[in-house]
Amino acid sequence: MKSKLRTSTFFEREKRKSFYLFMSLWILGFAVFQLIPILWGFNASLTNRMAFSLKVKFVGFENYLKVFADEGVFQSIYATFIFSLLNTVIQVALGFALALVVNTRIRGKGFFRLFYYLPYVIPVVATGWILRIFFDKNVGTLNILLSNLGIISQNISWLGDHTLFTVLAAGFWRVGWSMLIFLGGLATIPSELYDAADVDGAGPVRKLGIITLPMISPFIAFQCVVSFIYGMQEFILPYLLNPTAIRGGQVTMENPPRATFFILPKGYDLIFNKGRLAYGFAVLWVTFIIILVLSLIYARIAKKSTYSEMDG
Amino acid sequence: MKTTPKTIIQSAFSYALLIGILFVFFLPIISMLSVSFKTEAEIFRSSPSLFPASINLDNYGRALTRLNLGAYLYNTLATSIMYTLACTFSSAMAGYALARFNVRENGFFFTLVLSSMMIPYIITLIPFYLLVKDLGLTNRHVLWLLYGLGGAPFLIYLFRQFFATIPASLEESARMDGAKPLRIFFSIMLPLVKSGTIISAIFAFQWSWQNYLMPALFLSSLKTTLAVQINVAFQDIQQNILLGELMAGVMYYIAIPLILFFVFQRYIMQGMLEGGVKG
Repeated sequence: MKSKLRTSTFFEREKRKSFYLFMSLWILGFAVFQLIPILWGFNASLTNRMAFSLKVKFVGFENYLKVFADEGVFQSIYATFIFSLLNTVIQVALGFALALVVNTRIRGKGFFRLFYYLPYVIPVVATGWILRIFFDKNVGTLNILLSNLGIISQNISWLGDHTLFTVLAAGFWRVGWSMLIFLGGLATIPSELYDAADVDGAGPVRKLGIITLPMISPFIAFQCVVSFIYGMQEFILPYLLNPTAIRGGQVTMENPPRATFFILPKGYDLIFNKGRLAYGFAVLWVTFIIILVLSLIYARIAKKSTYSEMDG
Repeated sequence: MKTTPKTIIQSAFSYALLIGILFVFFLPIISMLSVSFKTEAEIFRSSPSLFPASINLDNYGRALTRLNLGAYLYNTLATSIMYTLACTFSSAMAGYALARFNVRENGFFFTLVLSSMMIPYIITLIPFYLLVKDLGLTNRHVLWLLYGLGGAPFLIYLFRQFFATIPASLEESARMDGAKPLRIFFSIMLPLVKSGTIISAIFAFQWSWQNYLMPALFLSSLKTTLAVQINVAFQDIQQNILLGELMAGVMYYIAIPLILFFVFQRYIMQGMLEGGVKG
């Protein structure tokens, strides 16, 4: 009995050693690239540090008090929140709808899957430029198409008057990833369930309601969280989908309009353009906390309201 | 399927829908190609046409030199390949650990890996940049190798799923023969998740190829990647954007990820649909 116990702890120890051996790179990377920088940033946010300041002193939570009183920051957080919410709706609703459409039993569905996914493969900076020219007021293909079809008589300034729409359109264009996740989800549903429903005489709408939706709910929950988090992290597109006229305007990374001046570009702007290092880090930390809290609340709700075969 | 009038109408409707959606997705691509074939005068005509008057390849020739494609392609490939190799390797190791060694801490680390997805990478990258700058280590491509060694949460998750499907008996017998854990991993387990490795490498490559902020912060204008260079290369002296050449340049920039995608799409589509991601 005693020797058996000893061998089992021996195996346990070996197992633990192997576990840490294989986790070591990630642990090291997490410490060096995530933990230390984020704590360093927090530490900097408690000082009065500027880009070129010599006398750095500790000021406590003064920067955070300023953050909460800063209307520009509030505006950015609000804009980010609205964008993330709408983008999540697009990713989940359209991604799921597309997955359903290409999951039907017709010939050539593989072809459509491939090409619906394709825009997601285009690098995001290229997406920004392609869409900026697509949406341009004077030379953009969209306005040319709409006026040729007689739908509009005067060119619409998409980038100027509908900036948020254009950034959301980029999200829509890149919905293929979400479609793929949902296709993976649909593939996990056993076909016997549908056969049984056929026997009971259930129609397609009813099958969607009683089989597909409940079975795919964990994927919907997953996609909701991930899309929301990625939406909060939007950075480069608002810079590129800038309303500055293409002819005569400079190609600078100047600040986007209010509706798309999201919080991470705001933090970047504060740190690198305004040189307000400590304050910028305070803004980034507040953003981090907001994302963390929202995700945790969300994860809790999703856990309670989705169907899952696994416990915990 | 029987061919009754009803099913014919049904499938005609389905195809109309599928082709309609395809058209919407392809509009921006058509726009890009059309602009890239037009001359600047044609683009800025007072009533521009949808399609170019002729297929004019001048923009592609000029974009090549303006973008200095050779040099920046090298930079982009160097950083992306280093990141891809390191990130795939490290993610495979972590995924293997989480899938195969059910020690007490396993759940904690799995949660930690997934939670790290919630940290916007800009929040960690900016302080990391300032730290690296203080050490005088910026402007080196090898940073991508180091950064990749931290792995990526989604890829770790993917590898965990792939490793979990392999029967335990294979490992057991190797262990009985006295093989060390690293040897088991490299010679038995890793070859068994070939499609998982390909998928992960494609995603890692794609991420690195499109990443803007890291080269913008860490690399000088000569060592930077196409993701940065594409934004500044296409201006004339008055800083007007040269649209035709820009779109041709974008074509060069997106060509490599697109080719890779078409070569390996079979793995991505199959892997993601058959047991890759589970909720």
